[in-house]
Amino acid sequence: MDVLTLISVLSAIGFSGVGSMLGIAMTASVSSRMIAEKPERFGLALVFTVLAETPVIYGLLVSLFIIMNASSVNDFNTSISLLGSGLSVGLTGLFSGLGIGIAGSAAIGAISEREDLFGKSLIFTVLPESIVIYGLLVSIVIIRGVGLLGGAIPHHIDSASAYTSLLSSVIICVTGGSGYYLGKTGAKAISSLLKDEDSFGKSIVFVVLIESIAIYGLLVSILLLRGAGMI
Amino acid sequence: MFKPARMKKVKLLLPVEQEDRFLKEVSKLGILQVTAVERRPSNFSTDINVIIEKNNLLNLVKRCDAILNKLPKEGIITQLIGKSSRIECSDEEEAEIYANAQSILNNAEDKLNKLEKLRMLKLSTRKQISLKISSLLKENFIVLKRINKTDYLVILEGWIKKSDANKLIVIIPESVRKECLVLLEDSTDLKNILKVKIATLIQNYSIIDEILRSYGIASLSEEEEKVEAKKVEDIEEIIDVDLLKQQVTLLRRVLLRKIEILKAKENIVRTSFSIYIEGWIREKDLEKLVSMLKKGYTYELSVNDPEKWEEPPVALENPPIIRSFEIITSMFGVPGYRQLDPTPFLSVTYMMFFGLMFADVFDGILLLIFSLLLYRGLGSRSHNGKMLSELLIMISISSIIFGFLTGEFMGGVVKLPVLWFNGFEDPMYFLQIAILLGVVQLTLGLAIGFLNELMAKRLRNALEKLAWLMLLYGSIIVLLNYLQYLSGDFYLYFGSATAVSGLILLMIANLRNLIEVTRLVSNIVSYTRIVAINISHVGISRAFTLLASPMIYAGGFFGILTGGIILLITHAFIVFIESFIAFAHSLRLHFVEFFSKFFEPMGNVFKPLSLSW
Repeated sequence: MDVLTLISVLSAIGFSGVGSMLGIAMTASVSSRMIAEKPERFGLALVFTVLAETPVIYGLLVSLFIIMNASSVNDFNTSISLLGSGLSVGLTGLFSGLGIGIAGSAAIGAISEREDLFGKSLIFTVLPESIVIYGLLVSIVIIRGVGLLGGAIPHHIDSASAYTSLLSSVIICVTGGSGYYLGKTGAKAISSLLKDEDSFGKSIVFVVLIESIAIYGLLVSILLLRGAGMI
Repeated sequence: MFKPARMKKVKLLLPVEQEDRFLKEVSKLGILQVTAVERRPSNFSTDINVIIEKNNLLNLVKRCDAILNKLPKEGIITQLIGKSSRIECSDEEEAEIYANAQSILNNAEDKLNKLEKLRMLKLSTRKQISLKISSLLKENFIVLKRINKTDYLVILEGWIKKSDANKLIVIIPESVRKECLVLLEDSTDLKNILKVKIATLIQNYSIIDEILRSYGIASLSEEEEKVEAKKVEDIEEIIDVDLLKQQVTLLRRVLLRKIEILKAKENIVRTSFSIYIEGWIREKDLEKLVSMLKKGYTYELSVNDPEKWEEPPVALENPPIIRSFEIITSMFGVPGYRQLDPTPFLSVTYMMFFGLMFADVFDGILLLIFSLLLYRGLGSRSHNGKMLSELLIMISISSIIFGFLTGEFMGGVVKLPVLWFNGFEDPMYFLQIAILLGVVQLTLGLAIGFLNELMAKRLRNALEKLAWLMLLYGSIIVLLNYLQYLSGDFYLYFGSATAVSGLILLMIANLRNLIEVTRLVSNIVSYTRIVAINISHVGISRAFTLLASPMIYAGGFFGILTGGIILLITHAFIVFIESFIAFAHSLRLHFVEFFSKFFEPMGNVFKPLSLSW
């Protein structure tokens, strides 16, 4: 395994791991406080805490894809592409984990007062998780593009395709920063649910507007990868 | 099925003496929602005593809750899959419990106080003993608690300072040390003090005793310890926690049933002789009400269709097979009485999305087993628990079906024939399918929105929905022409004209729509998450299966057993995490992308008077 491939594995598991760690720390600390008062809501609090773990699972998945096929990576361009793949899932996982942590903490606070807000709070907590899913999608397309997924023989990757892959992953990582703000606005929206439950429909419009940034990032990344022949 | 149940407005006049009987019987049927009387006849009034009684009962319920919160609770696994022990009682028993409510609560609170004292006593006893040991060890080398003697052995038990631990070994003469076993362990209550056990042969006891005495021995008064323990046992004998819990739970349910009746009575107006009730009933239940009234009631009944300005409560009415999906609709809110119910559409697309995201025969079967256990446990405890477990059964079946269609079993490690396509092997085809599903669902959402607006006779809004459809399909035709799936200038011009006309109509309807256009793109791209979640599920499933397979292939009883256990544990983890992710993201696609096109939860849920246990 060359250094670049190693860095791509580290990026995938490391950054997403930090995101999950921070997210779990935030939700778990609020959960601990809540179950001291309302132990019967342990299960609901656990749901939000577990949600923060998903970025690292996606990071782990991409790491495994790369590690299991590392022996067939033997040129610089493939390694550069894989670096893009690792960064995509890693950095989006970091932002996603942070966002889930912030929104999840607010959601646990809300359900400690009103259990019936579980479903609506869950939606606001799931929104930041979308970011790591977009990152994962770009990662999968790149890994598939270099021939490491689906048992295909590794394709020959030219330098233009390799750098386009890296660029497309930079785009999804930068736009993935919206995951943090999705968490922040989601937390505010959850607080407003406590005041007026009917605000759900309107709040979600505002929160989803932020997510659109990442979706445009995903769209551009996918189009770039298509242009580079990875799709 | 596509619209909420048809409702009828009921106005009923009854003699006062038949009020209690009527409320009890109608609550058993669970068909009538009693509402506040809108135009009260001048000589009718609300009974203020009902409000006072209701508040008194609510206070008693709070006392019940406080008692139940202090009692030990069931574990989460028991709550989820343990079968509920249903508590019910006859009318006579219910009346007796209600009459004795105060004494039951006083008795329970008294017992709880005793339980609290017991806890304090246990704490203080342990604390006192700890303090005594600490003080004795200041002046003595060892504190002995107990000396057990048999024909051959002597075992000394006690405490020693941590700093004296080495000394204890050294002071025992070498000749005896070989026949002596010394065990030291940390004491949970005492800092810097170790628990000690010295076991030796009976002939060495006198030597050890002499040495220890020369360094200083103190013994803890066993009698004192026994007296304290006896006090604790006395109180434990008095309190049967399970019985106490059962009594208070039953009383709580009886009180809640009474409160339900009183809430209905609050809405009823009365004179000294008669009562007047207004409410809503499902059209199909009207016959039941009439036949009930015909059995010995003196009544005057008037039944009307809802007026245009009235907003009747909403009862969703779907076939049993998709009824569990109402829980998803209700999570967002119920539709208005005159709106379409999205549940039938949602049940198809939700199962499809979940199935595609969580496509695996093995994991689907595991989820199905868990759902069936949940149905037996949580389902027997509450109506919502039953609906949720039924929903899980439906979506687990969907994941098994899509597992077969995509040939997935344990992440593809076990080969199955691929009946449709395999998303892991061909993600690009899967992406096209996901986008197509997105377009279909958005079209459905906009079409339902169009119909909803037409039914409400809001033509301008209906036109807006039509304009969105024109923009969507015009753009798709142009895109397909660009990608050369549709060749010829006709498609380019036709598509462009449709899209531009749609855009102009949208701008005329509301300039804000211009900003919303980009959301249509993001809505469609959002459906690609189906691919990502499916591939992550298959990937993780494959990795975990490969982890266990070397042991299974190695053969032998223990190899297969260990491999099987690892396989079950890891896949149980996948079922827990990945099914939840698939569930939540399917929910998101419906709430954010689908519902935003047509659904405004404007309705109030139909809550008939019902006295369930």
